Amino acid sequence: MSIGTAKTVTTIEPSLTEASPDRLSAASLTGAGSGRSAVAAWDREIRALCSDPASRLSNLAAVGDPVEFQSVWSVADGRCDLRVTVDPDPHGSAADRLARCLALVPSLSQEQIGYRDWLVRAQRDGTPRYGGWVGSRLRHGAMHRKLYLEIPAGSRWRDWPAAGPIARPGMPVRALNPIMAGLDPATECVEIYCGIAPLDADALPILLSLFELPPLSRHALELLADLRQQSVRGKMPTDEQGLSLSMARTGQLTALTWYAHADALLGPPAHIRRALLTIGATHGWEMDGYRALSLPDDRGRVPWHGVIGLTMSRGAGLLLAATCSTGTNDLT
Amino acid sequence: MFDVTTARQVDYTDSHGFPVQVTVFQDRENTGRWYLVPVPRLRVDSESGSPIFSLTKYRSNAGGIAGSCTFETELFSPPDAKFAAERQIPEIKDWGQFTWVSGDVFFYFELPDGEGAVKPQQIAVTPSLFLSNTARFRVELPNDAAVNTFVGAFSGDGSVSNFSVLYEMGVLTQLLGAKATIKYTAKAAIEYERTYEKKKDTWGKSYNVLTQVKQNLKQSGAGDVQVTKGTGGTDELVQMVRDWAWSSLEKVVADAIETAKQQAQDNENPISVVSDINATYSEDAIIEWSTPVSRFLPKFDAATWSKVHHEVDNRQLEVTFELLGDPTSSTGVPQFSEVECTVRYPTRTTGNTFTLSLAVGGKTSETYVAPGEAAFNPNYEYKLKVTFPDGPDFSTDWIPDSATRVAIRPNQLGIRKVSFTGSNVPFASPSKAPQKYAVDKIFIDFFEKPPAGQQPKLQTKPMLKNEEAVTFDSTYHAPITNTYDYRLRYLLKSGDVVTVQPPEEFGSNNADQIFVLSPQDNLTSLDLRAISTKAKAGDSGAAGDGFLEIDINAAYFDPQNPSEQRPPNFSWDGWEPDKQPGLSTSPTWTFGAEPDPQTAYFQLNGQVIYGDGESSTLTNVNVPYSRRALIIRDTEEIYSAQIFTDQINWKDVKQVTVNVFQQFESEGGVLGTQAKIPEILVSSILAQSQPSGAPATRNFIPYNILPPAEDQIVKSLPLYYTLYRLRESPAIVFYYNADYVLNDGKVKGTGKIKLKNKLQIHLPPVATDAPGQIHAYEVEMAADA
Repeated sequence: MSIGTAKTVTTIEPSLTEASPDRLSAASLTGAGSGRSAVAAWDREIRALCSDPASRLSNLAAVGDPVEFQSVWSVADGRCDLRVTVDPDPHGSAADRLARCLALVPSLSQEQIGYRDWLVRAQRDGTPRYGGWVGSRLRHGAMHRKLYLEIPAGSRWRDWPAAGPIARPGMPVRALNPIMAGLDPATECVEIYCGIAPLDADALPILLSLFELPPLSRHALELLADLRQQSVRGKMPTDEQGLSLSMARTGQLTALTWYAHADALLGPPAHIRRALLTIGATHGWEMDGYRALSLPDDRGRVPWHGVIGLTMSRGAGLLLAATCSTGTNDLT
Repeated sequence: MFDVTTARQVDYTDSHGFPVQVTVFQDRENTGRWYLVPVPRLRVDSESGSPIFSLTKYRSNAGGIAGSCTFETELFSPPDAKFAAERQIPEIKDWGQFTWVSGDVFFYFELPDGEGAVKPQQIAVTPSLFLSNTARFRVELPNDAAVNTFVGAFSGDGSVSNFSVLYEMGVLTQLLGAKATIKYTAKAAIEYERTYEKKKDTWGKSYNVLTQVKQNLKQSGAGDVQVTKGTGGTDELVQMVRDWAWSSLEKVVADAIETAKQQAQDNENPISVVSDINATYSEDAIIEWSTPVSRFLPKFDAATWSKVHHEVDNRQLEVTFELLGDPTSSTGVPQFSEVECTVRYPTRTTGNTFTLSLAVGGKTSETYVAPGEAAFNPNYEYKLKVTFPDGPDFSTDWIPDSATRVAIRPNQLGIRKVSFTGSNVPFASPSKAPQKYAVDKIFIDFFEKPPAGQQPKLQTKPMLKNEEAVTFDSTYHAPITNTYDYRLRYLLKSGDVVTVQPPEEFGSNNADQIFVLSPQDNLTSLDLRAISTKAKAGDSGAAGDGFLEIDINAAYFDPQNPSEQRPPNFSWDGWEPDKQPGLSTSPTWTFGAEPDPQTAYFQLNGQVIYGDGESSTLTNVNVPYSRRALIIRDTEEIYSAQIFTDQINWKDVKQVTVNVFQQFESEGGVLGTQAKIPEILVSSILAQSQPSGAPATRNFIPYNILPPAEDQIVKSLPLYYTLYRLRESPAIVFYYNADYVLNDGKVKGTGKIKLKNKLQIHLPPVATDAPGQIHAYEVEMAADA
């Protein structure tokens, strides 16, 4: 998933000769500690979601890979939740992709359907860049999908019924531009993703206080400092940042996530992998899945990492997330 | 001096009821004394009690903008924060104050982009280094939407704005309990730039440079920091030192890129001429430390808003006059009494004179506002009258200007102060066996250009120990240039002398702290940067054929400080630059040397084989030390010019400035014919100020030659300059200017000097012509090529 506008990457070409290992293949997932039935479920799900998983023309990841996996670690117990985000139609237009996304995630709550329809209209009236994605996670033996829809630039998002939290006065955030909404049928939540200017570190406790979320900012900043081996000084690090707010059906905010591009935060892919494995080992987190899925290819290239997210959640506490391409390309 | 190892974070609740933090440090010797890193706030006028803030909307946008916002911020120590710290740390007995030596202040805001999105914006200014470190901001608001964004940010519901201010102030301290190494690998940064095909201004300029450096050092993997825990060090300390080392690396690289802009040609990213950087900071080293701190600006209640928000018909002339920098002497006393400013502008003809001073109750800034007319006129004139406690007044003529900010810096008042501090210099100790580089003493030769008609000053002071600052300060009672030169002479216990003269320094804030380091363990490097201009689709300029191979042997010479029998050397054998158009970087040669940057040089021998099979031979081409990233284009050949200084009559001359440069066409190739010299370069050379990287000028090297010291031999060595010649052109064209500062303070130029052996300039004993003249040379070389 992208925080703001997509990065322009010009040197990565679709490689016909390079035998990219399929990172969500049975072998990889077995290495990641998934059971045989889970492997089969993942395999079926990705084939169902993506028309061409081998494509390298998607906008989802900077390297053109249409399938990204995401590792989400719970700081409280170190458990890792594995998810995927998929561009269902890497060769299609934004409208094609939107149509396919809507077809892949048809079951939404009444309220979510209202939000979805507003966004579909906004895309039809505007000039969307990609349309949407689909996310999926394995929960209690079954795959659960999440619908991501683009909020096109220039839309009248303040009129959108779900936009209340991000339009709230007194938000200590600058240059806030909503870019995407996530609709999760399982939780009936709506999550709004925004591009923002670098956040003042002092804004984090204020935001948590405004939204009556647990005061986890200090803990989050310490975790970020551990990960980067650098303190947060004045501003949250990196130039391009994002923020997402999750809202329950009741309108109550349930989580706030801060995002940054992984390379801007931690360096080239090999540095990112090393930093994540190091912090995981330090805290005793489950790292086998991530380690297996982010293995360097036979030329020693670590796959491209997209974003790092820090979630401060009402129910799940502090979470650290990292997205990683399932292809082998890197930018070096 | 505060102890960095004692940093503590203290939580408290600010006046708006939000949870925030401050950082406190303990003093190194007085354990009851602590220092609180002050936080920014909006300034309040002490007389009226009103915030120093104004948002003005213009009903007519005939002036080109729809409004403006001006405000002042300062640093302060919140009583609530002190109280919280005292509760958390019972051993606090009193509070000390930091002595800032540098600072930047950033204002972060947002503006609508006209397409429904809001874009982040930032402005950086220099705060004053005295009193409460005031920073003054003025933002021009281009349209009604921008004005409304500011109105929304500073009024309405809520107590804080989403606009914030960040102070990053530097203070001297000692690195304790850890040592740090910072490293910048140019090749990684260049490859990264290439990968992303960033626009040529990616590294931007000034503050933008630093912003981008922070991002790209990390993203590219070009930056690296290693911190080793020392005696008494803790993990927390290592983390803090790592933070400091990263910001030091960012600043060093940003400065190098800024300097490199003078060398980069028009369409070339300056990063292409920045070489590797390696630096080690050992335990006990004196360093400049900073702890950035930011706060949101307040929103105003309705009553206050009505006082600070105005609407007027036409754009007004608004000019802020402010004292900046540190105008105090080494004893902390202001070196001037007051500055009286008078402004001349047609719509306000009375009440045009005001006074700025550091006296109690005095103002250090004034915003002059004059009513606007239907057609906005930005042009005004001002004059200054400066009074001194110990000298005659000084008055300027009328100075025409159209800037919205006039900064009056110490050099404009004739004041200069520079401090040198020894940091980890291995001064010989009687109790220890002498090391190879044990230093007996260091002589600092300090030269500053005087105002016209006044005696030049060349002062020499000894440095005998670390940490104790050696300060040079002067008061001329008349404006002086904002530059100075110095030379360090390390007298080693062994009897050898190591001489180091860095390039001219630019001391804008008058609080310059120069760290004098050990003469040993310094790493230097050289690499080659090949630019292939093979035609890309759509290119219109002349293109070369790339390179087949480059074979060069380089030997390093520092005749000022000869320490090795055999000069260090390195060979690039069979190096094949990339076949694709663009920049290729050779393997880097890194070796240990403490050079005299002005006279050290690399001697190159070998050959360059171009893509068309033609070759050029390099025979004893001497490349000055400042060109440690040597650029070779496939359309050019390299030569070296030699500037001899041994005939200068130092009995009559105090300093010689030589500027040498070439001009380049817009596609980047060197010009083979003479062309008009950029006005900005002519005026800066004439003003003897630091020349800026003028457009269409590349390969600019300013040399500043100081006289030999009386009690030590400093050799009058030749200087070298790398010249480029278009392969298709028979001639090399280059330009030079040489001005002498004579003993009586007069400045004279050399006139045009006849070259010897085609590319040798012998500087004459004295100069007698008008200064500031630039002379062009066109030397036929083809027959030799």
